[in-house]
Amino acid sequence: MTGDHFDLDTSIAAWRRTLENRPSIEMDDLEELEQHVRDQIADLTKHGLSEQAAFERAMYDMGAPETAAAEYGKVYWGKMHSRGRLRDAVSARIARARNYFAVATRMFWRQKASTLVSVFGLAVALATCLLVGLYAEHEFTFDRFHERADEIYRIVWGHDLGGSALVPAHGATRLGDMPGVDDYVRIHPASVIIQRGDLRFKEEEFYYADASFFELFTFPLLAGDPARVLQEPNAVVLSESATKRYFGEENPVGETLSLPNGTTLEVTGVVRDAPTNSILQYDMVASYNTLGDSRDRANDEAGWTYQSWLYLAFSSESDVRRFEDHVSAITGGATDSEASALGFAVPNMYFELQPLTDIRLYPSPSGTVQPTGDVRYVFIFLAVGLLILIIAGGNYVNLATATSLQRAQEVGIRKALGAQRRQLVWQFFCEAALVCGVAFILALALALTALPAFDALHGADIGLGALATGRVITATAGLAVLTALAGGLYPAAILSRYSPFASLERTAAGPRSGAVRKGLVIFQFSLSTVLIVGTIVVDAQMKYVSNARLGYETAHIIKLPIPTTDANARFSGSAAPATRNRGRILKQALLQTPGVEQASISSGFPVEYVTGRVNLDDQPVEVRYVSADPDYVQTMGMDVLAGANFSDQLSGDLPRGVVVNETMARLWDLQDKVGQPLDLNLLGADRRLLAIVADFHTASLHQPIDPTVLLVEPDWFHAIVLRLDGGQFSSAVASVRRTWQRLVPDRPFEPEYLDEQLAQLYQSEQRLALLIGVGSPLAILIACLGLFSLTALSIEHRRKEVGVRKVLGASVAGIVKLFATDVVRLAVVAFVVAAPVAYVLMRRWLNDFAFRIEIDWWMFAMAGALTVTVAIVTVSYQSFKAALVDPARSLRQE
Amino acid sequence: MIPRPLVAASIKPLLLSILAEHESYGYAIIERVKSLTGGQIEWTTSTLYPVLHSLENDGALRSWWQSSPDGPRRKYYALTPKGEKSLAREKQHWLDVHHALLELWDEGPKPAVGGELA
Repeated sequence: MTGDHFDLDTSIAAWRRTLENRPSIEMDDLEELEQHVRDQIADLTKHGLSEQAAFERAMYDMGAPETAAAEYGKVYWGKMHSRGRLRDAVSARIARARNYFAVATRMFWRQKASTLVSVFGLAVALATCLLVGLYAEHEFTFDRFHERADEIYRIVWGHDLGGSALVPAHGATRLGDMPGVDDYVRIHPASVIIQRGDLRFKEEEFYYADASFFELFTFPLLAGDPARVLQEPNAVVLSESATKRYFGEENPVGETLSLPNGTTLEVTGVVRDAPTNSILQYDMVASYNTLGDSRDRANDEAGWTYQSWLYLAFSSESDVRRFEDHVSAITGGATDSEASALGFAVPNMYFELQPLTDIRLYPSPSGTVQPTGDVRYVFIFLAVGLLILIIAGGNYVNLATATSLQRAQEVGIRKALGAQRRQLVWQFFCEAALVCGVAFILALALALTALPAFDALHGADIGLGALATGRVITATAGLAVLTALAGGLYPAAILSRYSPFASLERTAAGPRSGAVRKGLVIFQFSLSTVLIVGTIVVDAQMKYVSNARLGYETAHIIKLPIPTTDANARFSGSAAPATRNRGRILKQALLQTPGVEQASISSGFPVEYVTGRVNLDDQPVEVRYVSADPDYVQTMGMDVLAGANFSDQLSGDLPRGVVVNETMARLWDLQDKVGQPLDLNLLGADRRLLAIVADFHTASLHQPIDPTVLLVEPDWFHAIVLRLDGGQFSSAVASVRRTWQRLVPDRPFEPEYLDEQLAQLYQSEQRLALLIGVGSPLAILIACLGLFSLTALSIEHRRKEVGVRKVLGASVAGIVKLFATDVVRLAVVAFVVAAPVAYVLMRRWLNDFAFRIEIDWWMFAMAGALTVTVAIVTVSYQSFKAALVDPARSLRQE
Repeated sequence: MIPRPLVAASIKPLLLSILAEHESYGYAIIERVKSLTGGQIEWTTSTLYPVLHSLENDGALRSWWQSSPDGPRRKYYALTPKGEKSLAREKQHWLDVHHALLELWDEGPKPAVGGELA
C-alpha cells in the first residue's frame, strides 16, 4: 500500500505478518527480531536517515522471510527437544494439518457442483484404469503360473495351405524324441460323451494327455499322485467342476465313468480347475494311451485321427537351438527321409516353436496360427485407460485452477496477512488429496459393480481373483496420488506466484495456459466425434452383415450330427457305411416329423467346407468343397441359375454329379456345360455338371466368394440339415426332439442353429461394437466434464465483462449466446480435426470385409451435430447461471 | 570482503568472547562485531540468532528478558560456566592456528628444521 504517510508501526506490523505463521519461528523469536529491527532503525535515524529509509534498510538487511524461517528451522527441533516441548510441537503440527482438511471440506461444501464434477470424473477415469489394468494383467500373465513356464514351447507346423498347432500323433512322438528335448507331452483334445448311471453330458474340454502332463504343467492335484495318475490306459483325472457334476460331494477316485461305445474309464485323481488365464482349459484329462498305441505306425489313419498338441520342455537355450537345427535339417531334405523321420510328410512342410507364454497374445513366428487373444487389443485398452485418466486429470486440474482463482481474493488477503507459499501448497494439496482419495474409493466401488459386465465383454471370467493380487489396485492408487499431486501443485504454483496485491486484482493466468486448455477440450471432442462416427459405421456394417443375403436361408435351419459309434469320428475323414445307413433312416423319419419342411444329409452347413486346388490355365486355384445329397440345394433354399430339376437326373449318376456356384462357372466357362461331363479333376475325374447355383457365402463377409463345388461324397456325410417351419419354429424343434429321442435315445439332442453359427463368425466385430458402444458415451461424458471445467474457467475470467454487458443492457440469452458461440467454434475445430481421422480408421476397418457398406456423408453430419449439441447444452447451463448474477456483485469485486 | 567459510568459522569464538566481556543482546552484538572488524564482518539476523539459540540449547549460554530504562524488552544472553570452558577450547584452537601462520609470515630468518634456506 503506497500511501502518502509512512507509519513505522504499521510497516513493522506488516513485516511481522510475513513471519508470523511460520512453524519454526516462535513468538519469543519474533519479539526478539522486532526489537532488533527497532534498534537498528533508531540507530540509523540518529545518523540522519528518515524513518522510512531506515525501515527499508532494516528490511534489506533482514533478508527474505524464507531464509530466516529456514535458518530458524534448522535449530527448531533441537530447541523443542532441549526444552522438553517435543510433544507440543508435534501436536501443533497435527492441528495445523487438520486445519487444512477442515478448510478443504468447507471449500468443497461451498462449491458442491464443481467438486462433484471433479470427483465423479476422476472416479470414472480411475475405475476405467482399474478395469483396464485387470484385463491387461489377466492377459499378460497368461500361462505364467506354471513353474516351468519359461522352458515350455509348443510346436506349430505349417505347409502350403496353412498350418496348425495340431500335429499327427505319430509325428508328435517322433518330434518329442528328438535331440535337445528334455520332456514332452501330447494332448489330444476331444469332445466326448460321458455317462455315469443316469447322468450323461457332452464334455467339450476332454483331453487325452501323456503321463508327463502334470510334470510339465503346474495344475495342482487335489487327489492322486501326479507321477502316476495318467500312467495306465483308461485312467482319467477330473476337474473340480467335473467331479461336482458327476459325483456331487463324493470322492470320485476309484469310481468309473463310461463312453457310449462301452469303454470305461477309471477316475485316478482330481485336479483343481484350470485358472482363467490358462490356454489349457480342461474338464477331464484321460491318459493318452487310452487311444491305443499309435506310436509305431507310420502314416497311420489313427495318427491322423488323433492329432495332438505337442508341448516340449527344454533345459536351456542351446537345447532349443539344437532341436530347431535338427528339425530344419530334416524338413529341408527329401520327402521320404522326412516321412521316415517324422512319420508323415506334406509338401513344403516346416515346424516352428512357440513359447508357451506367447501363445495367448501373439501369432506363431510365421503367422500360421493366430492367437485367441490379441496383444494389440491389450495395448489399445491400456492406452485408452491412460488417455481417459490424463483427460480426466487435466479436467480436474482445470477446474481446480478455476475455483482457486475464484478464491484468489481470499488468498490475496491471506497472503497480505502473511500466509506463505508453503502453506498455500499444503492447503491445495490437502484438497486435491481429499478429492482423489474419495474418487479412488468411489472408483473401487464402480469397478466392482461393473466387473460382471466387464467379464461378459471379454467372454473371459476375470473375476475378483485378479483384483486380489493387489498389483492393479496399487498401481491405480499410485496414479491417483500422482493426480492429487498435480491437482494440488498446479493451482498453488499459479497463485503463489503473485504478489498479494496482484491476487486482489485477480489477473488471469497467462494466455499460454489458455491455449493448452482449449487444446485439451478440442482433443476430447475430437475423440468423441471419432468414436461416434465409429459407432455409426460399425453399427451400419453389422446391420448390413446380419441382413445380407447369403445365397441361402439362414433362419430356421438346424443341423444334427449323424450318430457314429466312434466318439472321435469328427477328426477322421470317412463316415462308415453303418453311419450312412443311420443317416438315411434318420432323414426318412425326420421328413415325416411335423414342422420339418426339408431335410438333407451333408458334411454340414455351407460354412463347413474343405479346400482343394484345381488348375485354371495351368495355375492352381483354391476351390471349396461341400459334400451334400441332392436335396441340399432345396433345403438351403439356394438359387438355381441353370439346370433346374437336376435332382430328377441323379438317380443313376448319383456319385459323380456336381453342382457349382456362378463364380466357378464364370472362371472355367461352364455356363453351357450343364448336363455334360467335365474334364476337371474335382476330387476325382469323371464328374458331370448337374446345375449352377447363385453365389453363396461359405465364410464370413470378410472373405470374397471362392469357386465352390457341391458334390455327393457320402464319406463326408456327417450331419443332417433341416429346414423347419418358420411360423411354428419352437414346436417344430420340439417335435424334432421327440423323433430324435425315439431313434437315438443314447445321444443328447443338441441341434446347432445356422444363424447362431454365422453370428459366431463375427465375434471380434461384435466385441468391437460393444466396446465402442460403451466407449462413446464414456468419451462424451468426459468431454463434457472437460468442457464444463473450461467454461467455468472462462466464465470466471470474464466475470467483469459479463457484468459490464449486463449493465449495458445485454439479455440473458445474449450472454448465453456469447459463450455458446465460443464453444461452437471449438466443436467445429474438433470436427474438422476428427473427420479425416475417423474416415481413415473406418475405411481401414471396412477394408477387412469383402462385402461392405460405403461410408456416407450423413454419418459424419450426424456425429458432428451430436457433438455440437452436447457442447451447447453443457455450456448453456453454466452461462445461464452466470448471466443471472447481479452485475453489481461481479463489478464490485475490486 | 572476508570469505564466507572464515566468517562462519569465526562466529562461535567471536560470539563467546564478546559475551565473555559482559552480557549483551542481538543488535548490540552485531554492532560490536562490525566495529571490531572495521565493517569487514556484518552478521545478519539469520546468521546470529539461530546460533545464539543453538548455543543456548547446548547449554553454553543462558538468556532472559530484560526491560531497559528506555522501555522496550530485550532478550539478553550471557556465558554459562560450560560456555566459558567452550570458549577456552575455541581460544586454544585459534591460537594454535594463529601462531603457526605468524611464524610462516614473519620477515626474519627462520630456524632451520632440517630444510634449506630459500
